[in-house]
Amino acid sequence: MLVASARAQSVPRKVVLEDIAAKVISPAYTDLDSKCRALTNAIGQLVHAPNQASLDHARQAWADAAAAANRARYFQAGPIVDREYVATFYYWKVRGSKIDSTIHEARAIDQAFLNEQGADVKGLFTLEYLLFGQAHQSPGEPKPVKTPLELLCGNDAKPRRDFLLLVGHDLESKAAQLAADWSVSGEQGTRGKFANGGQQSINLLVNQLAAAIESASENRLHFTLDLPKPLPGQLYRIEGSGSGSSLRDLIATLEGLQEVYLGAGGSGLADAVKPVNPTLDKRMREQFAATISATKVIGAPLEDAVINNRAAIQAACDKMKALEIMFKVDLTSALGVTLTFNSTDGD
Amino acid sequence: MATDSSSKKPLSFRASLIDSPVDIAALAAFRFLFGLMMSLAMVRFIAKGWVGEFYIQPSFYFTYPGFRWLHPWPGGWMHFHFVLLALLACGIALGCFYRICAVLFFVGFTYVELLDQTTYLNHYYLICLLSGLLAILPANRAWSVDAWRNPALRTDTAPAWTLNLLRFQAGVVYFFAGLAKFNADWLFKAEPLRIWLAARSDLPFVGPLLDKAWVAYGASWFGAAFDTSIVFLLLCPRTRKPAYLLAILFHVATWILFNIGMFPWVMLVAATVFFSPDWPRNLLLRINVFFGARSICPSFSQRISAMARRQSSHSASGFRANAAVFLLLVFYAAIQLALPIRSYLVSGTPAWTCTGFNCAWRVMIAEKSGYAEFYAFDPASDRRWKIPTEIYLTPRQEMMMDQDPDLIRQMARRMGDDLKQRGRRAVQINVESFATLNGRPSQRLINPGIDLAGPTTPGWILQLAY
Repeated sequence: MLVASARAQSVPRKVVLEDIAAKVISPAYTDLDSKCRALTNAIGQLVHAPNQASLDHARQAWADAAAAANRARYFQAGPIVDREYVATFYYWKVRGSKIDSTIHEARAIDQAFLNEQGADVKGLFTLEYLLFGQAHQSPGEPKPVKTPLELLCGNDAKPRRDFLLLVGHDLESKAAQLAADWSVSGEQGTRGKFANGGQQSINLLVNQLAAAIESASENRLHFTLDLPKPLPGQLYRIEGSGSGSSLRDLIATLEGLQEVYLGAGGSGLADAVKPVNPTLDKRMREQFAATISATKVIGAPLEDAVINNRAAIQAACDKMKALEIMFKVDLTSALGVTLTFNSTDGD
Repeated sequence: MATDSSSKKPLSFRASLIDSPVDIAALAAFRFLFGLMMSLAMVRFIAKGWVGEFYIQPSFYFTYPGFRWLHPWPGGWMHFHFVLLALLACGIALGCFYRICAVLFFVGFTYVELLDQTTYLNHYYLICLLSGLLAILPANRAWSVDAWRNPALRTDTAPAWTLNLLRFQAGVVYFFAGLAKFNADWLFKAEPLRIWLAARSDLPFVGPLLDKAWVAYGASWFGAAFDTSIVFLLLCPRTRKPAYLLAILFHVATWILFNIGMFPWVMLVAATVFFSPDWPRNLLLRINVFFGARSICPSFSQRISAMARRQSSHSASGFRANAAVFLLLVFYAAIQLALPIRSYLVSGTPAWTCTGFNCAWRVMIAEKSGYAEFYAFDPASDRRWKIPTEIYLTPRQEMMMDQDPDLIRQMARRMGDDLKQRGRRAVQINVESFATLNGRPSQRLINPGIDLAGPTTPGWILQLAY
């Protein structure tokens, strides 16, 4: 125990960053890549033989890809920003009616056509719409006449099937690109630059994590609790409500954050915190566990829990808020982020 | 003790510290170095884009009590203001229209510093004080364009109070900065240096040492000892040279390790006032001897020697301290002592409450990070909603505000005023505010149940619990 503790305290920050890049961020994108490839394969089977079994298989593959994307959600910097791929994986406010009209009005469904489209008709959440349909409608919006499967069947559904496959391939190629970017070792690769960034990389990472936890707290839990009544007409506004994956994705986001902190088969941010503030490290670990546990206790997608189990969402919200404060106040201070992130002078 | 050159009798306290003539060279050198440094500082400020970030982009400014009427110049005129400050600093350095330049620089720089409390830095405050002092000192009566244009202005000496005033000012900074470090966090937890040094562990060569606890402890104790003793070491002729060398090492190290901008250079220039008043002449003589041996400037040493010989023949009678000046000096000194001492008399921890923290030379002793969320509460409808700060503040302002209860309160009052203007007269403003100080667990900074837009209530700032 003492030996392990001494070893943990001697981890240089450069090693921490190398481990986070190589054993947390890079594997997260590799996982996203493999899940997106599986999703494209499943979509291929669905397009080839549209039936309930192939649809269910594609839906499961989509849910896995969405969870993988959420696990990597904490780090929206580097290649995903440089290549302008953020919206592809995280812009979820797609509009079903616009996707439908885009498919119908398309002269030719190919990559050039897709490249011309905006973020609200392509990407991961466009696939969610095409595979799951709209589980919840906005007030005044009619319920869809056909199910997603019916929309994919028949000769007249070919453009929809082509579009579905095209969006799947687009997603897969982008995930593969990100995984490739993060897998390159060496000084000039993304990993090398991140690891050699020293305190600047620590600052970037801590700010990314703080933003991710704030987004999870504000845009998912608080947002859900603050939805105006009557609730049924508002549930479509919850991220992942179309596929019923809202809670699963939120937990994946939190687990991704926790992995950066604890590390995965190597050192994590905790190894930088522990030498300067072991008490904080203990509190961080406990708060992560409490937050994830409270979130799991919700037990049902947020769009269901907000009607049936608001207290559980509120409890998770409180835990997440405490975690957010620890990130923004204690962690930034302990790692010297407030000292070094500020571009201006101090004294 | 100084002696009068004519009588050789020991001088009185007042005579030795106030009236006796001293070589004006140190004063002139300080003027030159300070002016040069300030012109560079102003150019740096513009080049970094801080004029726009600090004084153009914000839609809200945290004003000082009594200075709410001050506003930044509109549009790009703040840039012009800083260009002007740079030119005025050049005027100070050259001693060209010195008095006008020094007064305008003091007024112009102090105006900038009074615009927004979030830009407060101890060394900016020091620059205000030093430029204010220069505005009344006869620093242009030697080695200046003014003295060159107007020979009647020239003198080789100045009354001792002129140099001692600067010595007092620099001494106060060092001494109280050192005294502030005699606290449990600094001495027994090595905080905040433990956090700050670890954040620099990526530096080449010394980096791997910086996350070691013993290094943080060593640096803390050395820093406290340095600040409290350096003035005395600089004043003593026997220790002056090694002390200044130590000061150079200390300030350069702080410059490398921390984002403290011009502060190390301001202090290194300020520390020159502790040298013998004729140090610039001696330095020039040595330089001349060095170059004279190579026949580069054979006549220069003669000019310097002649100046040195004239030293006692000129007096600075125009700047002898009469009773009024003496009283003013005492008054100024009393204020400069009272301001830092007040932080030891207030209740609570100044670094936590921010009461008595500014203008007290509590330099680099607090690693503080905060978080504040503002909520409006309408008792009539029992409705509570969050007010975003982004519409008022830049990220830098928000970061600074989050640590300071008074700034949080000022923000709340502005939010309350805005809501009142929109007809919501009974709305309260509450804040969820947390902060951490020197590695402590974050804790509430402000009582969340108090209406911050209302009258000030005792206990609205929560004391540091542990």
